[in-house]
Amino acid sequence: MVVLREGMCPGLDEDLVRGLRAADIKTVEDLVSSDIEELAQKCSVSYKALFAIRRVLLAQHTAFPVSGADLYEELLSSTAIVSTGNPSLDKLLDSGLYTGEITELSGGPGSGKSQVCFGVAVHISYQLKQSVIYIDTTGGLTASRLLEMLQAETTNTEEQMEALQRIHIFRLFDVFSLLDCLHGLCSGGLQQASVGGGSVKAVIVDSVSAVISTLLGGKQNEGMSLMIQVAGVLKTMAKDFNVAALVTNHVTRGGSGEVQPGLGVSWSHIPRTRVLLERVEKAVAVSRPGLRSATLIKSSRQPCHIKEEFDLQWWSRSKGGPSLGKRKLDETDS
Amino acid sequence: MLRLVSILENRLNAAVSTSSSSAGSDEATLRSCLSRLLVVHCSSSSQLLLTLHFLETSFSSRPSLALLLIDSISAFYWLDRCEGGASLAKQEEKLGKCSELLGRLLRDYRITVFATCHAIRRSYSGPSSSSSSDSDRPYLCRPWQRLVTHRLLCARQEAANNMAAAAGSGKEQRRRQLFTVHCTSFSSSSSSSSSSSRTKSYRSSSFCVTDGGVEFI
Repeated sequence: MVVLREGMCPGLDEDLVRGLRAADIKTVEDLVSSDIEELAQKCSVSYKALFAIRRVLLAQHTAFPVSGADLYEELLSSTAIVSTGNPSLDKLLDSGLYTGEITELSGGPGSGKSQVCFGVAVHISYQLKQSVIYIDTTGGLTASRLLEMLQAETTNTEEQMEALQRIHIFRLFDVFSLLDCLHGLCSGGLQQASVGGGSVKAVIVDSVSAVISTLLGGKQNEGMSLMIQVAGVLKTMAKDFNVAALVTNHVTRGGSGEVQPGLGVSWSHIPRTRVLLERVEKAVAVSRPGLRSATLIKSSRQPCHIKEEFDLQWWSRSKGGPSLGKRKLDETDS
Repeated sequence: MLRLVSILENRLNAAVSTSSSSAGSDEATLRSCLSRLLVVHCSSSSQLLLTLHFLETSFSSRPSLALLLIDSISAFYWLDRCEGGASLAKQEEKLGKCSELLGRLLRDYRITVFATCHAIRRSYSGPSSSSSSDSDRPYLCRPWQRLVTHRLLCARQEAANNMAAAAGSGKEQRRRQLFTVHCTSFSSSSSSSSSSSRTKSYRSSSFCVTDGGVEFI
């Protein structure tokens, strides 16, 4: 909704705005939808002038059509596939996280959502030398864990610090600060984060359900609206700035007891790709506590229900046993 | 978009292999196909409305434009619901205007409009209790409902049925996901008649998704 103001375009002066307002034309939408001929008579302005104003306003406020060929060309040059650092996950995701898209990880407590996010963040910042925005809404992020993962990659402290500097962390605990933060990122925050080093390639929100699920339910629909707003700004950001958005979600059980991602049907349309993480309950799992299974439950590229097993310890593989106990602890606050 | 191109490539390749024409102009064909596609990104319902108005000039200047795809018409449903406050009229105002405009475009330019609409609520009752669940009930405003002449309801088939279907068809199907689509056509004489007086006809079929896009079985 865009309210008509004087000076918005040539010819739209104070008198005309007042005249239009008297004719119950308050917004650009009103003006565009109205019958120009009739309106010209009512406000006693020339049809031609009003028509020109309408045309300018339309051109100012519409989304401009882009030819498919141009869009394809642009996508070819701008889209990057960001590796998660884990070959099994990459295989599942058709070689990684695509920039311009929202990918969702869902899973119960301890299924490794946060750990995967950490791993992706560390991989992008250290291996790919690009920046990452990490929005932590659960308080589950510990810098020491990131450092631990980095220490597994390199023993060079300077490189470790550089990599950590490329991970920009936001801690916020309600949906309004999340929206603020995302809007801020869209209007300059992303460029600012790119100043120090590589450009921002991924925005991780862990977890998106923590701030949204509390708003849902009941008869009110403000929660739904806020959820769609978060989705909208995430999508716009992913598309306009060519970043991969990675969000995490909790799981619920459906009517027939099957595990499904949280936030309901309306949210299910938002992420382009959805992956369900589960703990592997097998004999081998005893010796490998980091083993998880990932199931693709939504994708536009791969057939769904492909399952891959992967080890959370992949991201800290060169590190020996001592980190094991610590890892388990960290996991519980996913 | 990338997926769209890969589908297009797949189809083009299939066409080339059957017609055995010169394969050199593959890329050029792809480009020319893509250049006939216009893509618009809208981020709010008012922008959608303004864009539709803007597109009217495109339709009048380019008679070759024949199809308008909207994915999805319900994208701003919740935003509008909240923005409109307590009054239902206000909530539905923009989509109502869009629908009116679309109706005019349909009439004046003889285009086809194909829109998707999200299912918004899962049925709370168990699968056995009632046949029509909450999720397939139309919920958008009445002007839009009046505009719709064919409703397709897509659903992913359950795994058990999937197996049976695969076995029944005899073809070797390596666990392909089957989808069903249920079409309801409203053949109304005039657009002003209410939905209750419209006659309905049903048809069902199923499809699966392959590298070449959607394939009906």
